[in-house]
Amino acid sequence: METPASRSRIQLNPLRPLLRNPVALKELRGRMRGPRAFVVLTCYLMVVGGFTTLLYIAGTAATYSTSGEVDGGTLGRVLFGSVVAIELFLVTFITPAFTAGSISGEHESQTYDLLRTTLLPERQLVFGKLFSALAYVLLLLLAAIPLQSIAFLFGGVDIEEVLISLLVLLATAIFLGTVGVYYSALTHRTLRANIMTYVTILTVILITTAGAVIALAVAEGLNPSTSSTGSEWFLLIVRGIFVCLNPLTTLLATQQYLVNQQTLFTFQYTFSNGTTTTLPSPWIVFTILYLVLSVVVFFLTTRHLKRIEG
Amino acid sequence: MATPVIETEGLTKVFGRLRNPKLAVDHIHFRVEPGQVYGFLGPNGAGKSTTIRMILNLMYASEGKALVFGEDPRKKPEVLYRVGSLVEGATFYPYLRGWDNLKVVGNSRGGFDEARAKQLLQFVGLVGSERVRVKAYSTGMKQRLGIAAALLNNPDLVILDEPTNGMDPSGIREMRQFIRDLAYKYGKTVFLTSHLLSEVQQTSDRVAIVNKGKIVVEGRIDELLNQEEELEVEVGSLEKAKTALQERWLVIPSTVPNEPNRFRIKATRNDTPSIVRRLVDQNVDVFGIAPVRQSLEDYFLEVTGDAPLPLDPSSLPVGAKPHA
Repeated sequence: METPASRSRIQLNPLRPLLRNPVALKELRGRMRGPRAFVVLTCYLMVVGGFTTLLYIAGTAATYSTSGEVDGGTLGRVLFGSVVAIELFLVTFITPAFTAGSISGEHESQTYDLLRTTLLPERQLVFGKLFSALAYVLLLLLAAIPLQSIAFLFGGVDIEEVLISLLVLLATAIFLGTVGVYYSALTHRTLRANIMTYVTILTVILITTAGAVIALAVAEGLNPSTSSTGSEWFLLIVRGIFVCLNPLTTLLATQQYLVNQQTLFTFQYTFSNGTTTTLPSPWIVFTILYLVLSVVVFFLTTRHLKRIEG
Repeated sequence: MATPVIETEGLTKVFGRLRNPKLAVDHIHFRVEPGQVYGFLGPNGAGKSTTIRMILNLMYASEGKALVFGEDPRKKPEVLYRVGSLVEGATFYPYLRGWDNLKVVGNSRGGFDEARAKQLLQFVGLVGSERVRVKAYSTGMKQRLGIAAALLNNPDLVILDEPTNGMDPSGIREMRQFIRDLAYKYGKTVFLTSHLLSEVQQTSDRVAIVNKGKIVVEGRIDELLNQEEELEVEVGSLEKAKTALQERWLVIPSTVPNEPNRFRIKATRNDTPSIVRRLVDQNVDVFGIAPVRQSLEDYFLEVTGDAPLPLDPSSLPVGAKPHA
């Protein structure tokens, strides 16, 4: 029974409902138990750190040989961009591994009925699974911030860029996490759920990258004297959708607008007839798109779990 | 008349509807009244767990319905807050301590009551073991923890699916005592499935025997076993004894190979003096005579045997209801 004292504690601690989720608590305890969590964290930092060192050595040599002195700004941007790319690669492959076995694992260890007979709401089950996996991914991302911040020593990178990259990485992790949980709810086998999740993710990455490249090539091939503003708009939107569905192209495009136009939230697009239009920066569209998609997949998962075994 | 705690109406489950359909539960009807210990008996694969899963809304019924406290859990799942269950063995998170597993179950049900959990650990005899990880528990300890988890929300109905599976004899005896206490000390209604017949015979008020998805027979245990009495007789000469007795009683020869001079007759305990007198008059040595009590096990084997079952109502004991 909830006492007045406990109610006041709830008001004081906004995280309390989250921490009262029994699945999240159990999962967090399970995840941090044993050496696995620490081994993964250590390996992750070693990979990111190792690449950063190699890039530093290669970058220093390259900028020195071309200009006779080390270009700090270029080196900083190269280091920062590379660390984010490595992080993105690792998050893409680590997040589904944490979530694709979340519900199917309950079936495999025969504890699913234990949870279902408690009448635990489906959304709490899915949220608990997702939250625990994402909490660990967030730990990985936060642990790598010092490595990203090495770029500050050389300049060329602002704090906003670090925050934007963190946001994009987090939105990527949330979406990939929900996809993993969805497939985990769909099948009772973790291996099958893993395969389905990775196939979906790779398909999305390949299609969006190819789509963005093709749309860009078509746009560049347009004859400015014959093309209409309408067709340019159409290609711009198509390219924008493809770019903003892929975290890597989103980061590259955002970086390009940041460097060329020095704008954080919007960018200017100039049509061939000389008119310009202001559009939201890719990272904003990407984050909204991925969070909306995550909510949709989340509800699909809870709806699937509500369907009783047929 | 009180609302039945469980009532099924033509409950049916067909697996694999499109390809190779298998009828797992076939139009079963039964009622469990408040305060009863109801035994649901059947061999493996008879449909016991499937029935429980449908009652607990873990699985859809293909036809019919199961009402819990007069409500359909599919339409009103909240009614299942009044139910505690142990389904298909006690499975817990092995890396968590017993206490933490109870916490997960309690919090999943909306709140963990530490005082009640401590009481339940006392009740199931796990005090001192609650701080040990479940992976170090024996099967019996896990089953006891399962009972404690099922009782956490102080349910009115406790559903126990094979609660003694994998337990040793002393564990089985303890479990029997738990079940009795639940019903007779704490006033819970217990729905129990098992294939361990002595356990059910000693704990249940009423049983349904299920075989191949159908309830073969249902009734009070004392009524089911209140069969025509038999006496077992051991004599020096079977032939002489049969000649002496068969004109008045039906003699059933023993089928046990190493006991050729032992046989049964359809007679009551009151016939014992007459039988002994007649045998002695015919110069037959009498080594023993005793009434034979049919156990639930005998009865179970009789009704679940491969041979066609005696579904003629007149062949069933008083109070037993045949199920088509």
